[in-house]
Amino acid sequence: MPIRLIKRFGGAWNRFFLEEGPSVFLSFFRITTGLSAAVHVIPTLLKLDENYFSTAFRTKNIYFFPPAFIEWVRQSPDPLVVCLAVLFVISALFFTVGLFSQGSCLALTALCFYFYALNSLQIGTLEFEALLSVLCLLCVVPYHGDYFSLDAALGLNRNAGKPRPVFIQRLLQLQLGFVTFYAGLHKITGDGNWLTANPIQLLLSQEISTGIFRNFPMRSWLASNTSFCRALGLFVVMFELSFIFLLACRKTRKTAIVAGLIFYFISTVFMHIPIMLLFLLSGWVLLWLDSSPIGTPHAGSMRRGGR
Amino acid sequence: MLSDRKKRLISVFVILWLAVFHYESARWFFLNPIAGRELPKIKFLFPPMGWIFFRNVDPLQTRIIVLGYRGEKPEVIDNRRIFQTRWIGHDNHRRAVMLRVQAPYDKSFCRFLRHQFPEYSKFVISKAVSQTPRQPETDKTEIIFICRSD
Repeated sequence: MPIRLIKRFGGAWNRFFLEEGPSVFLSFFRITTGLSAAVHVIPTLLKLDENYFSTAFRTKNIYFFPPAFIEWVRQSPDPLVVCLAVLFVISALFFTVGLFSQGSCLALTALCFYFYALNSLQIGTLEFEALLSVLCLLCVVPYHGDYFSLDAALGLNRNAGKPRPVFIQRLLQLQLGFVTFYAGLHKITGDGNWLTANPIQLLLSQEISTGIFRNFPMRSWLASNTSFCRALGLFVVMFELSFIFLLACRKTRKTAIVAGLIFYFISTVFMHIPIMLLFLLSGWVLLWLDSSPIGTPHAGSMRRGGR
Repeated sequence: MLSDRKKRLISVFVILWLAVFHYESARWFFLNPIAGRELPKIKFLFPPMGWIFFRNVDPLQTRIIVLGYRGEKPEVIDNRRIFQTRWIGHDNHRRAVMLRVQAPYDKSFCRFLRHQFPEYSKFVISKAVSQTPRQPETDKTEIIFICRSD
């Protein structure tokens, strides 16, 4: 019995992580990731004196970086910062259009880390840390340059269009599902107050000039409707907790992807959250279109088995 | 077809990545209390406190108010004049960016203010805490530090 279980697990592992397939959605994700990095970091580069030069007000994230690394980065003279800012724009552009995909991914990732270490004040958000973890995964392989890229169009990528190992797609798919799951879990455990308070109502009741919600028609009506806000809060938590399971189940996957896209779009339209999150999460959730759940034979395996 | 060596390499990478991801996602709020101490953080990867999007919405709203003095005359300096970086599609000032100017960064914020606004001789930085929804009679304001020109 245990041997059979191990064999079944090994088979599922092979299907899920070690299969080969086209990298179409990974390539599309490269574009949205490149855009995310660009729209998040470039606004800060337009004000170098305020954000990165020696005259800037700089804060450091000592939990994310080793202090010695931050000190080393902060020794950068201002002209070097200017050069690296230009390099950032070039690498973000090259990565987005898929020119020297892996090299530009490595450069872009390194520069994201550099500017974050130099000053965490403006760009240091949870969303940006999510982006960094995604970029690190994309750096591992060049498959994201197989489609929709200049590498493929100019013949620089000779393997474009060929089947590639799918493990990066799978890790990214799982990561999105679990990030959402943990976000929901943190809201209802410890001092997360989504079960004990009415956070949506609190956020909607903040002053319009300083609150996190934008001003929109019926905002004050929503803020005064306690039970609706509470129900909305519980719905958000339930959605976050169940998202990964809805994505993993073939029958509910497409609905979950559409629901995810609507959720990200509504959050961006109604709240002051970085627009990079919309680009990043939209491309990220679409990766689930390119998948087969654990335990379900992949179409390729079924065809091979049928021969 | 992948070789066995490649398959092993990929498998090891996948296991390591998933282990680090879940460790870092659960470390701060779940594993640290179980261990009774702060477990080591793997630097450069994943948020230090896990994925905590709006986990605890505080009914108190805190604002930082900066007063610049021309001689003895105080003037409120708009926070958007202090940090002028403009974002695409959102406003970072609503995401509590000004709260970061407090200790331990107070001295460097004073240096930054003196550089940005040489026309003022002194700056008073206050913290205003208000209830949500706002009840002005319960607002509390306190001076948190003062930057002098010397």
